[in-house]
Amino acid sequence: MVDLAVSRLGQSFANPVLLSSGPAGFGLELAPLFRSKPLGGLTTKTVTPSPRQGNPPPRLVDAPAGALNSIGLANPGLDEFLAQVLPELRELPTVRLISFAASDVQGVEAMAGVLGEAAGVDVLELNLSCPNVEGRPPSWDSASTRELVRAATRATCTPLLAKLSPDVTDVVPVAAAALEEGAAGLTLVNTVRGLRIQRDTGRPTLARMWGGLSGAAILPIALARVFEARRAFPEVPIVGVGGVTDLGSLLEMAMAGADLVGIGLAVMCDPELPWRLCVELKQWLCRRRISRYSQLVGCAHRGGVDVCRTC
Amino acid sequence: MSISKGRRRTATPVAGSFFLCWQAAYLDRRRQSGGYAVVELIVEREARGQPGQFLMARTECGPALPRPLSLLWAEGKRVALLVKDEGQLRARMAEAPLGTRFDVRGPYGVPYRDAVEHSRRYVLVGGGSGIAPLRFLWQRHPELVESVAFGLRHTVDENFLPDTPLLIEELGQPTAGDQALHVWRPGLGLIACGPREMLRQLAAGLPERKGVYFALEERMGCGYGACQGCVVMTRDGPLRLCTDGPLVALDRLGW
Repeated sequence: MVDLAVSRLGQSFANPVLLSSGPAGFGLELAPLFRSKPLGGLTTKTVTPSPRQGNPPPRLVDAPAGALNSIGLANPGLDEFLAQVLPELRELPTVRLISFAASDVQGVEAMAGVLGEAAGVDVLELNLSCPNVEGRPPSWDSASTRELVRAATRATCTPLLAKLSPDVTDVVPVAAAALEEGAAGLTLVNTVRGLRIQRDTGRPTLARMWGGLSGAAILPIALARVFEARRAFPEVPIVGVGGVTDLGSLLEMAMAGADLVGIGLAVMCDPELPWRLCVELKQWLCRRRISRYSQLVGCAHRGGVDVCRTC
Repeated sequence: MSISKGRRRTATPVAGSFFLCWQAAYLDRRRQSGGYAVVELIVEREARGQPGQFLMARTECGPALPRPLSLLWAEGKRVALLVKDEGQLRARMAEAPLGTRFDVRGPYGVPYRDAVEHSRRYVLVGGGSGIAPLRFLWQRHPELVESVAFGLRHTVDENFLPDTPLLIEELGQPTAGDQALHVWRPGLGLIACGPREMLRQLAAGLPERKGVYFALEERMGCGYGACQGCVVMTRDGPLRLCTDGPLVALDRLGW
């Protein structure tokens, strides 16, 4: 018997697979899948204080082994989310991780306070790293990260994940800043800032020029960030996101140190994939005679998969 | 009919989630001409597609994002698509041997009949593979159709699209859009699907906005309304082409 359950962030996740923020929207389109089979958790699209229409189209373009998006945090805003979306989310039998962002300290504090009190919010994820909005992503530097995480944790006791950008030389100081200010864990990583150019016109393809690269192309980048953070913070809950498209990449993410693994772009292509990965993961662990998923987490730091095996 | 099974297995669909599940589609027949192909696929479950709806399709070879392809027709477990032989997926559909497996899910999108007023008849204007949903509408709901103007850039065989008048849009000659503007008169509606340039010319040439609908295209992500990748901006705010489109009333577009 293999146990996929994960107890982290004060929650019992049925398995380590999450929908990461963005591609699955608020998860409601996937409700039939949630109601049929368990999934670890659902991370919502990022909610902001006021409604955002998002960036002008085109918002999506293919990239080698992935895609570049520039959605721009399109969302209905906090009030509409609380009134219309959250009641439906509460019906889904999974852990709900609510992603949120605001442009300043006051906004972050206010949102964390309101969301942290709302019924049905299990975990908060502070998005410090969207590459598709005005200004620099806060997690490009430790000081901004520290300030915003402090504001959020001052306002709520709900476990808070800090979602960080991969576009830094060293993620560890930024992660340390977030953890020192009370973040309960880390989500690593957001999309990688990228660009594509239309060859027939010579102009950037996306209307806002820059976009966030996701998909298999960024797996090695995400793995490196998760590995670095796990090495620096052995006990901290880590959600690994970036380039997980199949069982192999999910295993690598776990071995690098991810307690929970988010699926992003791949769920846009294949909505059933996260549920199928749970089945495949269980079978893989069973074949390897590893009785608990948690034994696999971070095994790359401990001498490899052989040390996980239980007879 | 001979079908050779592909390598990838189809996962058992979760009850009530057919809309979200990939299903195998095997290339069964194909007609090619002038850089276009009509491909007929046999799908595992009845497609039940309506004119204007589309399937998301992919192959094992990529690209990462699946592609939306409008139905040319759908009958039971057989669906037909009209594709131009360009791009990874379309080129494969146009070139792969019969029996090749593709994956499809859907159908998605609002059927044209549900998106337009029924109090008027329409001039249908199709350009290139944009002919597909309009020809389907014409066949399925002739009571809505006043006339059709379908244009292709290259000459095709006589039987490529049987019983369908096709205008070959050679340089300097009238286009399908010109023809449509010629036959349109007040009181009629117009539904157009084709290149953005064709739609812009129609918008500029039409004296009325009421009763005019354009099928728009943007790079699509999920196809089921979650990712907001295929949004177009309208007077009423963002509109997701996959779930609220693909047909958009011209007076909402502000063109």
